[in-house]
Amino acid sequence: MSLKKKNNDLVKQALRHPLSRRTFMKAGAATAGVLAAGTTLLKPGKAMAANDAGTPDNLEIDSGVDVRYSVCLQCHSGCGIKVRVKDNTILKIDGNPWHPNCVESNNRLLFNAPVETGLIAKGTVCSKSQAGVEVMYNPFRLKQPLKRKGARGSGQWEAISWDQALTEIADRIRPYWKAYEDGTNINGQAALGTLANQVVFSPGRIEHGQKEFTDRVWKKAFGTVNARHDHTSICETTHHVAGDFLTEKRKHHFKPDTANAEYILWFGTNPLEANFPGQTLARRIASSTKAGVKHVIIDPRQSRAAAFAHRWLPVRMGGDAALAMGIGRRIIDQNKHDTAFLEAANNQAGLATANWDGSAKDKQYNNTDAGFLVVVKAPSKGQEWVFHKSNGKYVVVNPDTGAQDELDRDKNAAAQWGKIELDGTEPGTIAASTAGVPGVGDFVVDLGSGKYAAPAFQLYKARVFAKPLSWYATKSGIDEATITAVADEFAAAGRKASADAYRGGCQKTHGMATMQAILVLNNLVGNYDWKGGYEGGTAGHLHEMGGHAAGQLSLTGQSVNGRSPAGTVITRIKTFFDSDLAAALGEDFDKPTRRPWFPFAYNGVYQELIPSFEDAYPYSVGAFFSYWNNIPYSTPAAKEAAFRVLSDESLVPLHVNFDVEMSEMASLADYVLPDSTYLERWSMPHDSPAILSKLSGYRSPTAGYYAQKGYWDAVKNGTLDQWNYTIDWAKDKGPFAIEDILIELMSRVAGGVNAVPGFGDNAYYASHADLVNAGVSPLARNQLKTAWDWFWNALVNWAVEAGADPNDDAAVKAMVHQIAERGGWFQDTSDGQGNIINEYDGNYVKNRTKVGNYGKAFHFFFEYTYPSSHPDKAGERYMDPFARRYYDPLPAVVDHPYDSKGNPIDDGPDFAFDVVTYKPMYHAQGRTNSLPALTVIEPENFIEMNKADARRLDLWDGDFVKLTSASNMQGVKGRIKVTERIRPGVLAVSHSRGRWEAGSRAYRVDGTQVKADARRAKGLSINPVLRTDPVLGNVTLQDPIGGSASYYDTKVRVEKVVA
Amino acid sequence: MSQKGWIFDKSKCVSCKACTVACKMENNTLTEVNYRWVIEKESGYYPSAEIRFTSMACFHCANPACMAACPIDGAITKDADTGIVLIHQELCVGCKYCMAVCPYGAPQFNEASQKVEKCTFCNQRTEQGLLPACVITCVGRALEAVDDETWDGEVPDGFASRNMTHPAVKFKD
Repeated sequence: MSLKKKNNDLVKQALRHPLSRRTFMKAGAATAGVLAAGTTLLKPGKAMAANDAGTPDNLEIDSGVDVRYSVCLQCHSGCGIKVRVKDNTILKIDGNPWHPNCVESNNRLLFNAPVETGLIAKGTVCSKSQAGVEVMYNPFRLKQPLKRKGARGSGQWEAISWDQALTEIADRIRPYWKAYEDGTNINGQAALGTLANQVVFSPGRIEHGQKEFTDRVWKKAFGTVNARHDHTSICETTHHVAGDFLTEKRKHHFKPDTANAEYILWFGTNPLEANFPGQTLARRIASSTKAGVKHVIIDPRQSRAAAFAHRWLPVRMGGDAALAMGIGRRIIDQNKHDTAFLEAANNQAGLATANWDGSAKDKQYNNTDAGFLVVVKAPSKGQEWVFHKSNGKYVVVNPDTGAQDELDRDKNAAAQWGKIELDGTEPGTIAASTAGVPGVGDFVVDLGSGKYAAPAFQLYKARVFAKPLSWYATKSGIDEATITAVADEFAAAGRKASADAYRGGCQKTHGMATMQAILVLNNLVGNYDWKGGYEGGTAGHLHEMGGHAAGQLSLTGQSVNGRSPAGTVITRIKTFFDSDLAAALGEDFDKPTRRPWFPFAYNGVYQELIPSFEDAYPYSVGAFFSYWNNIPYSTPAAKEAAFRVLSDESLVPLHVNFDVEMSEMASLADYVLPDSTYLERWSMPHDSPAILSKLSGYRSPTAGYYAQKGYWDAVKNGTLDQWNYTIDWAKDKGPFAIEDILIELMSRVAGGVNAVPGFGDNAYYASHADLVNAGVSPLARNQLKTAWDWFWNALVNWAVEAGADPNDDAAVKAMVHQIAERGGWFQDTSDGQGNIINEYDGNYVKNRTKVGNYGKAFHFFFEYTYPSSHPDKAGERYMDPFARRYYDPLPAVVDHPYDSKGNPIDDGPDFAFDVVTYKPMYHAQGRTNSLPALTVIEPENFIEMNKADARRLDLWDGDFVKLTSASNMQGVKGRIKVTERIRPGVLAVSHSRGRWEAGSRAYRVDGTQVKADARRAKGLSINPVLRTDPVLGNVTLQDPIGGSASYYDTKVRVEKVVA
Repeated sequence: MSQKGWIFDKSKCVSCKACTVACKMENNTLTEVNYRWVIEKESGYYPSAEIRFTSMACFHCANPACMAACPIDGAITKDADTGIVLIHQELCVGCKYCMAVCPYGAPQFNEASQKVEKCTFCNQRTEQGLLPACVITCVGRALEAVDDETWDGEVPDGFASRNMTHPAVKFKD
């Protein structure tokens, strides 16, 4: 195909799009007052340009043009942006030349470089970020609060004032607020907490600074434990939980040092497009490939990253763990694992340069649990498969003497080593067969009283050696020779090899076992904290919430009269079911619970929220506040349940939604409150560990309400310390920051802002004098009455941690303004002469994970136990109270997805295709569907199918098919795209498209129709078809441990249909 | 005279489309009109299929076919100093002849104005010493805009021969 022809096709496709910028204006004008268009929100130049050839933007160097630095939020990467603004209108967005996501380390501007130097300095951002202008001037933006008329979901609305909306909502939730004060418990049960817990806040996407603020509102001011049910579990939460188990919660997020690695296994991640920071990894993957780095892309779908791959391994669906375990087996079989690293059992042993036997070893900032003894057999099941402890300490077998040593994990304690495999010569060991413990290696330690133990590494080895390589080849779909070659290449790269995984590794029912299988490969080569290795201590940041430097105000810890809610979180996360809860719920501790509990899901189980409302388990919801939350669209198998539950007022008495447009979630609300975009408000996002230096990105209102209120004048004049604003809720339209909306709401609940616990004139200390006496910078405000009061304090916290003397007001102010002008605080990564600094320290990275320093270890063995405070089973092996089963503490290959009872799911041969979902770089969250500059790139998404499958089914490009699953026979329709870049038997469908609201469906406000834009309905979403848990019926399949929603366990049927 | 043009490193393009969108945002083109775009070319068969990326725009050719084909005097010009080829909107009649002859598909029809437009090499920026929008944001640092260069060398598979219009583009691996 010639390049020209393809281009013409693209243009033809593009021309089919009905809506131009000009018609955008028309669409909006029809409902002026409700929607943003036709008002000052519209970028005038853009709209007028439609008639002409492009009328270019004013240049960044033109007079009257301001350049403001902030942070993007089109995905989670947090790239710095450089925003060109004229007359409070955003013209153009580029990359921030100070920000490490946007510029490589040796080319970034130094933090002290004058702000003017940023004007013509280069910084990159991706297509999504470039399209941010369209987020701002989206003609479907909501401008005024809407109140439902008629039934929920009927699409009939009434535009009301902010005054009315906030008063009515406050009246509805005030009884719950009072119940906290009165101590009225749900069903009279203290274990469930007060009625205030029936008010639930669920922000889908919310950023640092905002997270802690809304926690303060909902916990301290309102008194509910249901303060923040965010979206992480539909993203990659098990990846974090696995990281927590890997490191004993030292760090839960690692990234390969792509720039200096030699060999990277990318499992189930699309590192060129959808990982984060997306653009940074993309740039590094391209440049490092050129420099000889070998990237191995492990994905049934050949992502674009495969364009740079040394190998593409089209693994079988669910075969990642088998591949990882096959690689692990081969490495150990070839004796290529780093024994010296694995034997080091505490900090000093890791740091030592001589091994226990005197031989030379590398200095390691880390150590592992490889030598820790694990109980493999005991008189009671609850005592098995937990670490053996003696006097509360881990126990290792001394490799020198064979003695069982209690392990001292103090960072300064003498070096201790642990034997990672027993050979029977150690005192107290016996043959495993004699002890009657199969599958744990040859020998075990006899602990007496029928208890036997073995080192964690020995158990891992026994597990991977339980099957031959050929078995792993069959299960992974990758042939033996390839597994062997990959394992050998990985081991040869040693400390410069790493194994990384993301969604594909963890968003499935066996997510934890798979993540574990992948992550422990890094243990084998000891790559943590090495230059070119696997990094978790990187991307450090200043602490906006305080608590880390003298002079900081603890914004989370400090409050006057702040409430401290207790009881059970409605999704039952971080909660160990016990006999008290059983009694409170009328259940039996020894019988299956009504729904699962998620003690290890540290980051929430978003998908359980609405199903828990439906089952009123553990209690019913009273008021539901959803913010930038689109569970019905974004969550697997949630569409039907969301309709059913959220449209039922008896199940959800009040639903208040915050959104920028009429999303699927908003359409099911009683009140929809217009949100500000990320370009109009504040937050303080953290970066990915792919960034080796320290930084704190600062997102600020580059345009919109707060910019109009003089924010940027204050930045320029150096008067942010004095700047503030008052909102007239009867007149002002906003769009407001959620912080201001919630303060006003709570103020109306409590009867004045000074009656709101933890807010008002004296929010943190009894007086400002007390605040100063406590050693806090006098510039910190003791009042909390606006969003800016909060973010000002957060900036002061940054400034003093960045080195400004807290007692020198001028210095603190100067640092705050330097940060505000540059869109963040950035540690320099070059000396100004092109030499890299602050990233590396010899052979190591400078900012390190150092688990040993914190008395922790990297783990092979993931111990699932009840805490020592548990009233019934303290310290015992954890049993899932719903499934009544134990979790496997070792990596495992799980052939089938399983349901919430732990039973395998097999939908039969009728459902023959696996499905993968993915995100191309020009889309991220569902919201990017609303941006024409992005949707025009690919006017619709497709069902991507291997050519062999397509020919067999007589399917051709553009044919319509219906995909159904065992739990959704109604199915979804889409068009086929035939490709060679996918494993046969697997289909791929990208995210963000196929929306049924968000401007794709008309609705009425005050009787006037807001017309739909057909383009926004294009393509398909696979989410509604993804498999429902057959036991629970109203929730997707999920990982019971990490809490991830499953995107990769569904089998579908493909049926040709007429359009 | 000098001849402005593009250097494109094929091994660094990540196909993110930032160039496409940056151009649209800078020049405020119609949604349907892209002055720059990325072509993705698949080849081979499973499991050794491959994908390669090329970012395309007007190459401000030394012998622009569009200019030769244009029936209106002065509607398409090539600047003597910079080599930039421009379609002058006030003169264009929208006959699309240029679209028919351009070997690269650079001219784009604007349904609203009923005229043809294309990449201007961000003329308004480059004459102020600023870089074109696509180059500033190129995530892979694959794209460069340079003032003068010997415009020769290999072209990607499927790219029209240099001999036809002498495009001001150089491809690197």
